[in-house]
Amino acid sequence: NPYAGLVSHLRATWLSGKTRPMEYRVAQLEALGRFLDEKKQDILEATALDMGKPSFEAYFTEILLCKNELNDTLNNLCHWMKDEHVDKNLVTQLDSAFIRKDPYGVVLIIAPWNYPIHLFLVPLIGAIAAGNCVVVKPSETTKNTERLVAEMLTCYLDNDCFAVVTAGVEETTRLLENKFDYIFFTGTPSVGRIVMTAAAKHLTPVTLELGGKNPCYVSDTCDVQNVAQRVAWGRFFNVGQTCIAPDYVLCSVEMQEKLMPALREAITEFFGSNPRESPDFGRIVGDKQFRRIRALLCSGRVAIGGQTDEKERYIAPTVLADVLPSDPAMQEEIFGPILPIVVVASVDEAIDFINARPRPLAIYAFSCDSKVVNQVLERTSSGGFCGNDTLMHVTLTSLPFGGIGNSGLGKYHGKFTFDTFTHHRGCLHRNMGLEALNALRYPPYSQQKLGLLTATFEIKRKGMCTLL
Amino acid sequence: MQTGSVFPQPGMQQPLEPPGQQPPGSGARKAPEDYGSGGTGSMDGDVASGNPYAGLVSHLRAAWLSGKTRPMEYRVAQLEALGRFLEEKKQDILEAAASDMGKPPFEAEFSEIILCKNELHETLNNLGTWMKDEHVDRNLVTRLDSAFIRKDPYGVVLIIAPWNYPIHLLLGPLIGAIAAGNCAIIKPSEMTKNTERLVAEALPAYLDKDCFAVVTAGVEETTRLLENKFDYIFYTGSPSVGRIVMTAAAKHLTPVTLELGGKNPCYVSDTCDVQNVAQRVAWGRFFNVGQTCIAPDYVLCSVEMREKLLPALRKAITDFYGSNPRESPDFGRIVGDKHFQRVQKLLRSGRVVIGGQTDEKERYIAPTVLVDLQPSDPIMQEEIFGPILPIVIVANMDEAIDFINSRERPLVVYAFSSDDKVVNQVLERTSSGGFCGNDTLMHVTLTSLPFGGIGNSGLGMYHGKFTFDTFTHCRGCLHRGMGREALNALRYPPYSQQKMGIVRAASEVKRKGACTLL
Repeated sequence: NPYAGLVSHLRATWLSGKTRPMEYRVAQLEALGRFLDEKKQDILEATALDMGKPSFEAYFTEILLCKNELNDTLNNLCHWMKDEHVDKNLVTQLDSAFIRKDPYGVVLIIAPWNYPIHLFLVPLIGAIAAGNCVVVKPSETTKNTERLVAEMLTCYLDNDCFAVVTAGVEETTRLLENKFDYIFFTGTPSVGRIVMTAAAKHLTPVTLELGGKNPCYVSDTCDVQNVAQRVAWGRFFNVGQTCIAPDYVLCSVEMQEKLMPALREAITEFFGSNPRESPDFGRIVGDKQFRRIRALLCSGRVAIGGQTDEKERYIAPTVLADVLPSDPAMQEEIFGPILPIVVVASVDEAIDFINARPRPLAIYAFSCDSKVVNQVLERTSSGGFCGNDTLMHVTLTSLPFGGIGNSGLGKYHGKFTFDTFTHHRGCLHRNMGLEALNALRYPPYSQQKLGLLTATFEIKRKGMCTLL
Repeated sequence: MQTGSVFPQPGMQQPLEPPGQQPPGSGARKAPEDYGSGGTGSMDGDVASGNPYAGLVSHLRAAWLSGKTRPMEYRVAQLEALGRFLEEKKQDILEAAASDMGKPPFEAEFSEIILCKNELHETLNNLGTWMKDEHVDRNLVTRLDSAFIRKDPYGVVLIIAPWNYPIHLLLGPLIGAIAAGNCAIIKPSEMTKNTERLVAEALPAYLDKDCFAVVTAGVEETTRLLENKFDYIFYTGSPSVGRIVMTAAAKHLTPVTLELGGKNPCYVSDTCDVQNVAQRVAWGRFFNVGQTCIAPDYVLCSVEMREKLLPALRKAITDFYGSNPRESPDFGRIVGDKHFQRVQKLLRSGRVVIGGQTDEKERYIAPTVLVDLQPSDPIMQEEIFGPILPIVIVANMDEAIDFINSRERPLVVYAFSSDDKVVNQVLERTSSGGFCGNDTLMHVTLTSLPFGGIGNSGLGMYHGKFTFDTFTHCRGCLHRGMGREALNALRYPPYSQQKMGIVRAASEVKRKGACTLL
């Protein structure tokens, strides 16, 4: 087992207690901040090389959002770390009852390629904040970023407690044979199953941030141009390689007619008449992915875009009209710059369509009528939800981010990341004396004792709950 | 901590068949079968037919999709029905527990009725608050929007309960599952047959059969049951079966809570009130004849403390059960023959100083204390789950802590000392599901404390609101305005440095002054 030594080393450090003091964690987190500041240019260049990521997008997702998470954590860490004292009953009135925030130990973070810094750094922030040691495995698909992380991150962090492992599929399988105390995986559902199965051997808790097809319902009552801009932005950001991108639109045939010119206008405003020449539109990450996405183009009818260039791995911002549920574009998460429009007769039909499919990471609903947005929210199930916009719900560190069903399990961002990597240990510290208080519970048992014991323990039903 | 040794499961007949190996994965692609059948009433697709429980799961899933369990009034009605079950069937529950394992009615009433009613009342008292959308802090960009956490049910959940507290460990999770709006299949333990029959026959009469079902199943049927897709699985039992449950869950990406076990160490320092310690430890060890996942499993103390503890323990046991515990109505029996044989074998470790008598016909094992143990003795290799308390000698607290840390992380660590610093040291330098200083078992009677394991002792937590949270999907929601598009213009291409500057100002979280050191 090629990684046994590394895991052993990190575990020994963790057992030494090195990561427990707040000052230590703050120092490591501040070092991460310096990594983001000092290596900013390298990060922008690496992502540009790996997938033509525009520097605006790279700065926003890989630097700015990460710094937000870092600052939110540094601002609140001592508060989050504190013991939480809890309500006591009559019996424990004189005791100390609290939740201790313990680290898990040695945790593994596996990151994907689409936001290669953000999707390992944000979990890492929470893992460090919670006092763990960490093995980070960046994606092998984005080679420049992988190299950057492997060579440079370790200069900023304590090598006794934090390590970067570069690994392909086979080595990752070997890595997963080791016992970790928590595994945080971002990627596809099928690999998610493999990770969870490996974790099960060691009873290792997991967070799986997976994916799916995020539906985007557009009602007949909306500001079409605004909707088109917001949907186009969400779909074509990072060339569509975003787990929370709107994957397909559900709308009436009338709305499809209105949306099409509005989408065309939005795309032209964003990327010009030839998006291939726009510095603000990236490329598909690799040849395999390019071919996979290109094959999806034979779905429905290409109404906008559709051009491709294999050498550049360029696929134009594309909208497909009249797509059928049986079409290729509706069989898998698109993860590319293609927006299929599927016609439904009504919001009820849209809801049924959504509910007949695996639960997605996000559901989007656009309507001027709040009741419609609320209906979609109420009658569907998804990781997260955004009404009248796309992507934005994940930029709030106060909202939990995670999937449900096929789109994942667990949640993070902000304090939720700290909580993910924290074991909440229920603690009671009683007095050595005051034994008389305990006499009621000891044998020999009697009805009288039970009556008195009940009185000291019981929780009574209060008056009726206020109805929501 | 040591990796590796898996405790043989106390109380289980034979392990469920582990499922076959999965081939190593490829990476980016997902298989078409990830997507659902598109049929009615089935989110995420159901598993292949030829599966005896498929119809039942399907039925419950259809009921859940209908939205029946969502209104608060519905959930309150089901929970109140559970309360009536506990009241009206109290006598039956006590009798079943007595028949199954000689459980004293005091113990049965306390753990199976009173503690369950506490959870029920706590839930009913607070459900309105727990269910509400939680509005969260917004940034500048989202100031005018609605940002909140919606509490959604998972869907159809499975609860598998063990035999030691067969009502409590079924009902405790069920209360939270219902409160959170789920449909549930509950599988009581097949070991405690009278209780199993009671639950299977009586409980469905109280609950809505469209949404809740009791399944009686042995090992093989449970394996078939686990092939179905559930939206959450809550399992209480042994670590080895926990692995099997989690592996089955992994096929469907089903989240799990596993309440498992281990050997709960009980460190007794030299500075303590010996008689109090003896009473509290004896109570925790011999309650339910030691068949308690959070029972103190073994004591760690100095040679001097052991000398003081032994007479104190002898006195406590006599005070509790008289000079012949076999005749005490307050001391139960081992649940089954196989378990009796397993526990009885452990008596050969070390030397018996108190108790040690057994009677196979009655499945009686006396409250027993063992000394002169080696870490390699049989009794130190598995969770005892019986009325035997080994005392292991350590020189000092540091040695005790090292001893604890070189083993699997237990469900609970106990530490007794008049010196708070000692208790805090043990807490600080060990890792366990929960912790109790200067007593045993009591920490789990507070609904405000989370109850769960870590490492081999489990994952997830429950009790009180934590049960509701376990069965709730916290859905991050943002509801923006349809207008005010100008606010969004900054984020759209064509990109520029200037736009980025403003975007940053509008959305950045700044570092505040240095944190106050703890």
